[in-house]
Amino acid sequence: MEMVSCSTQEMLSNLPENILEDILSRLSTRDVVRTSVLSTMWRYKWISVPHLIFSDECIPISAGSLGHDKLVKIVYHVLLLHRGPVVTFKISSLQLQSCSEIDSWMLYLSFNTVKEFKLQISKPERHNIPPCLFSFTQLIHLILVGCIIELPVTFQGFSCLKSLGFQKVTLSNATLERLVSTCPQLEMLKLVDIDGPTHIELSNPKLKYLTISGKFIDICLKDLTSLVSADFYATNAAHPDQQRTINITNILSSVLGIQKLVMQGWFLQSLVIDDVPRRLPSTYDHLKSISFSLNVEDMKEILVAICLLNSSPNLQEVEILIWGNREFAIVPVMDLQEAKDQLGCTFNKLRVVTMSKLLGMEFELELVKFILANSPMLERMNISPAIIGIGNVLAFFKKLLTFKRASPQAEIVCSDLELDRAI
Amino acid sequence: MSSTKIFLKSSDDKTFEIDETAARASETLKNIIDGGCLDGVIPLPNVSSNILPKVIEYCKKHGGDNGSSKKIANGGVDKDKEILPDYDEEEDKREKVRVDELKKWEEEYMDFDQQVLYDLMLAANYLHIKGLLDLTVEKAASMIRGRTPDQIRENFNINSDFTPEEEEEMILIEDEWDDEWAFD
Repeated sequence: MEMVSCSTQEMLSNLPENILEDILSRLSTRDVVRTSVLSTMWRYKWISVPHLIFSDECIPISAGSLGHDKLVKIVYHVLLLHRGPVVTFKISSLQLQSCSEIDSWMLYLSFNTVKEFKLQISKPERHNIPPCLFSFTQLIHLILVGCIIELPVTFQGFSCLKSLGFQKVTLSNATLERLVSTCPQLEMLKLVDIDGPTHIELSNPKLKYLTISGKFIDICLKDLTSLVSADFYATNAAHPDQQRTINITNILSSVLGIQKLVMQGWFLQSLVIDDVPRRLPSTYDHLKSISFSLNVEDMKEILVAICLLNSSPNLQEVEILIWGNREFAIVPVMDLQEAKDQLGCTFNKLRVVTMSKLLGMEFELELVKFILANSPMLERMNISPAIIGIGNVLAFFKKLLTFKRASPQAEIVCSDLELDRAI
Repeated sequence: MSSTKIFLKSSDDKTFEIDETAARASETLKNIIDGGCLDGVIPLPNVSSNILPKVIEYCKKHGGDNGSSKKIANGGVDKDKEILPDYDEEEDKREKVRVDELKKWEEEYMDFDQQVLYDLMLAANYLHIKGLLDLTVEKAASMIRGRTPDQIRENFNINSDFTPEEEEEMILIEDEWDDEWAFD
């Protein structure tokens, strides 16, 4: 009987080892270390928890500007007392600066079995990654923020690595290409604001998810036969003199299985070529969702957008973010006839269309008209005008409501407060 | 799917009925069923009649679709893997509605006291019901996350058994807790 009452009293302490480990693995290292003062039984339980996660919440508020020093001290103490394998090591803090201690942690961890590693340096000075990180042979997830990467010549690739994320990382074209092509299990690659590469060639038959965001980079996708999702965001236009291979016909030529495509910022413009075809050489039957930002004052960009839509017969969702600026157009819109002639496809599976920041331009109306007339399954078209276009919004909507709808259940929903006020 | 009935006997000799498809949510029961050792009633000496109906309720909801229950259960756990895109090729509108409904169900289902939590964790562990174990373990973790040592002791009925000297040391540490870590 006493056993029973004891177990009900101290239920947490009496849980099977695997459950307790699971519970502790879900906590941040600060929460885990805190359990050491609960009771004698708990005093040293934390030291074998395989996940070490340090974040801003690890730094006492009172530390103020000494946050970095404090954090370094805490990591040192935890590593000193920790016993057993470390599977996860993550450190991300707004206070962490590049310092030599980071290299000693990595050296210490390189004798371990780290599967997930994240280092985030938030201060402007980037940290040079020591060669020992590249000997973490069991890595599955790697995220580096605010670092400089140079691969050791002996680097053989991470044989288990599944996801790789770089943000504010400085590296060369060659380093990036080598990393991507020497990780045979890599499924996810995320590059945000990287510095260095102006032209990258990515090749990896296992890669499924790709995100490239930041300054314009000339991208060449090769042998990405498994890619299902690509997300591009360019924060600036390609320089007119910049030599580039990227364009609408070759960006997608190797990714025939793609299901989701996002092209934001200036990315669509970077795909413009002299003679934009009506449709791409291949049809993208698996593409379900597409999202892009479009300069409606640029004829060339409009043609690229039409080419994409014409080549994607099975789209279910389309999202278009409109902006307009003649100055930034490669060929300013004069006459829309060419665009009207190019539009030619049926969206048999299209359910939801979202067009935001509409300016009241003629092409927007043409596109809405075309989509409504050629999407028999359409359920919803969400429209939200930009504030500056508000003047002619009423006329715009009057016209829009007269368009023929191929789908009897198609709704047009205006989701903008500004407009409610205008009407 | 056939809906063969399976009978489960709790540690205190009470018998409960469950559909075979629901029972398959448990790896342990699935192995017994597939092993052909079904001899009328499956005895579960580690699960009492207080907790077995709760386990059966979970299995009924999740029998036959382990995949999606796992997706939800992991939702809270994997949030640190920010590199993963929110995009899922399978996901569509209907799936979202279903997931939302399931989340709501789980919220109501998980409304119980610590004793039930403890027994459910043990039962889920013994019967190898991954989704249920994930749910209960996450709930236990949430009762420690960001709490003070006193709150944790209260949540789980932990008695501090330090010697008076140690106790003093611990109190000192606790007093400074907001500012410092234990080993400082």
